[in-house]
Amino acid sequence: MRMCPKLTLLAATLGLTIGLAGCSKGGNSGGQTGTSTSGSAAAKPVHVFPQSSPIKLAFVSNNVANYWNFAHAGVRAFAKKTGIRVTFREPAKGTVAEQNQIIEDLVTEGYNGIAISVIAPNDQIRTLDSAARSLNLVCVDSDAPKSDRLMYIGTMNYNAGLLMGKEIVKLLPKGGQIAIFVGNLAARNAYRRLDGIEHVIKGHNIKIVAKKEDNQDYALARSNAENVISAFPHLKLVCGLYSYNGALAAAAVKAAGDEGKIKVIAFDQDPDTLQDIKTGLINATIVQNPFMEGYLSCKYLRNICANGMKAVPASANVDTGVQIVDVGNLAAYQTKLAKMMASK
Amino acid sequence: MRRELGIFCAVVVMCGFLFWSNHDFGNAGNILNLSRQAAMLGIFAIGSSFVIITGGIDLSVGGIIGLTGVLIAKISSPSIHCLHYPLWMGIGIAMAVALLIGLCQGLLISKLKLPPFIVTLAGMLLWRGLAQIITHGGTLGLGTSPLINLSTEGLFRYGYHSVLAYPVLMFIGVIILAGYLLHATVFGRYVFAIGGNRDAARYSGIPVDRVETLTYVISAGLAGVAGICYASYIGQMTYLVGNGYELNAIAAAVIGGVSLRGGEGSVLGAIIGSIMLELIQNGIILFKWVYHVAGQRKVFTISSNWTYFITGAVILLAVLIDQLASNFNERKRLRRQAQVIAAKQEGGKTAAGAG
Repeated sequence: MRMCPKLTLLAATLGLTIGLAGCSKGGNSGGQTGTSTSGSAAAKPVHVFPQSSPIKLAFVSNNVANYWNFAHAGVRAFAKKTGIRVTFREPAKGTVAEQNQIIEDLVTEGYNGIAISVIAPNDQIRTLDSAARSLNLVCVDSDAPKSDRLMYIGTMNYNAGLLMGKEIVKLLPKGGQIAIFVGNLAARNAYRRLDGIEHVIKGHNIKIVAKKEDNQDYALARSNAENVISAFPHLKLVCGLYSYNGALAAAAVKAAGDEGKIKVIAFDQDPDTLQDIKTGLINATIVQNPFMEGYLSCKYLRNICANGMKAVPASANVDTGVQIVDVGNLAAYQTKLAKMMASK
Repeated sequence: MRRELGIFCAVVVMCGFLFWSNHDFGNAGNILNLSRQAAMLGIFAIGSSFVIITGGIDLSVGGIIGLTGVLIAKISSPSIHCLHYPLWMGIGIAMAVALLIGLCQGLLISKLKLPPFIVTLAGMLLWRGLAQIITHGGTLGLGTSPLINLSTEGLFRYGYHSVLAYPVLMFIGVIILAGYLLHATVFGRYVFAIGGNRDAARYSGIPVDRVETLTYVISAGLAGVAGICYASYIGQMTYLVGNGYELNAIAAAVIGGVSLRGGEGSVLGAIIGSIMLELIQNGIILFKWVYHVAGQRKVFTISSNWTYFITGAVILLAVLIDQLASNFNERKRLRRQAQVIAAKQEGGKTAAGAG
């Protein structure tokens, strides 16, 4: 029986694809898989690879944003220092489907370790666990503690909230009304920051009168701030939990002619935020350390690939720290930032 | 006009209700903020209305808003990663790009007969993607660019605020031009005729392709103008700015009585629809209901989580009212027609009897 040429071609293509996929999956062969109980009662797979073969690492962000440029600089600094090549991937639309696809591709390409900022910690467990069966997985910036990730490296958002809360208390010694602006309050980093703030301000006569989300729509973020300023004439402070919220709330405060009357606290080191600190429009910002998130995640991944969980702290958490930047230490901080970026 | 009057009455009632619940609603600051927010939405909602009245749809306006702002920031912002050219050059190039996009999309739809939904959907992704490439996925700040003042400065001052902020003035300009174009020119009549019955319009000698293309140019151009306003308002541009705004434009138009079937609508409707949408947003934050339980003062407010639900309900209600009114008018017309026919037949019989 003679086979149709189109069918033959299709069968050959299919066979080749399956064959290639099989070969790619074999990329991890030669490693030893054990289990770890660090930071969790459940055993998690740990993969140790022979040091004779070069390891392949990847860093996956949760979207495309300025913040990740600093993490990328940290990754490059690690790559430059160690000679290990690290692939940096950013989901352009910041969706779960896109990030899952990236993870699956990296597994297929035979990577040995992935550092990832998880978009939806509870919805991606299956994909993360599936990847963790083939490679070492660590979380950066946004954690998925219920998954088989081996450790978390990044900001302890609750601690960041505590620091922000202390700054709010310092700025409002007599108390008063405050408003919170955020992209999405359901995100773990957002609500943990808010938990920290609420814990500190309790008992200081400070009342949160509005918590407004904008789903990362910048125009909505500003109009939210404008509307809240109109709705609460006795507002004393506005607080932005996402990187852009501070500068946009500050713009609304300025437009309302309430400069000085309403204080502003921001998060992260967006150029506009730092500029507003310089002009006095924003009182302070809580900055994270994305450079170290990039650098340390690669360092820990390399160590796990070589020696298993020996180098990982028992808590399986590494805090990259936060600090307050205000007009007093702005110049020093900007110099530090410039040095970090120059290390690319 | 009856439809616009109905929505206008709803807006007035909502304003009264909000003022009753929270007197801060009537603050000059809030009214001026609201007028600016509605003006920025209204500018591109009017553009979209032109397209919708011809029976088309433009899903690319959000992408064009984002791209225009990104281009202005890239070309003229004094911040890092920007080219530092004069502001007029940034605005000029961005507007030229917006108009060119409108022309290309319009020609693809009218000449190649490609479906508007597909062409503008592709456009939405293309222009947002282009903005993402230009910004490298990050943010381009406008820094100390004079454009920053456009959204807050304007004519006549009341305390700290400009009574007529520049976006509001631009909106007034757009209303006058668009109102004239749609309701007082032959071009406007062609727009309605194409939306009413495309084939009939073509057979009656209307240059359908040219008029249709022009509506997409108008829509893209006004999205470009809105992009300038949003760039000024936000002060930092990312490729995500304008994301989903095409649906806001369609919603504003539909609430204001612009029919998605084409052939019906007005500039006034798009204006009122825009005010209604922004009023919902504003009202959700400002609404307060003070009540007492066991001598204790309690305040009820609406969570922002209700925004989409309320907006959806208003759109549905608007379409429902539109349909009911349309059915009622149709029935009334048929009844009158039947009465006229019956009267004629009666007259004929009487005449025959007399003969």
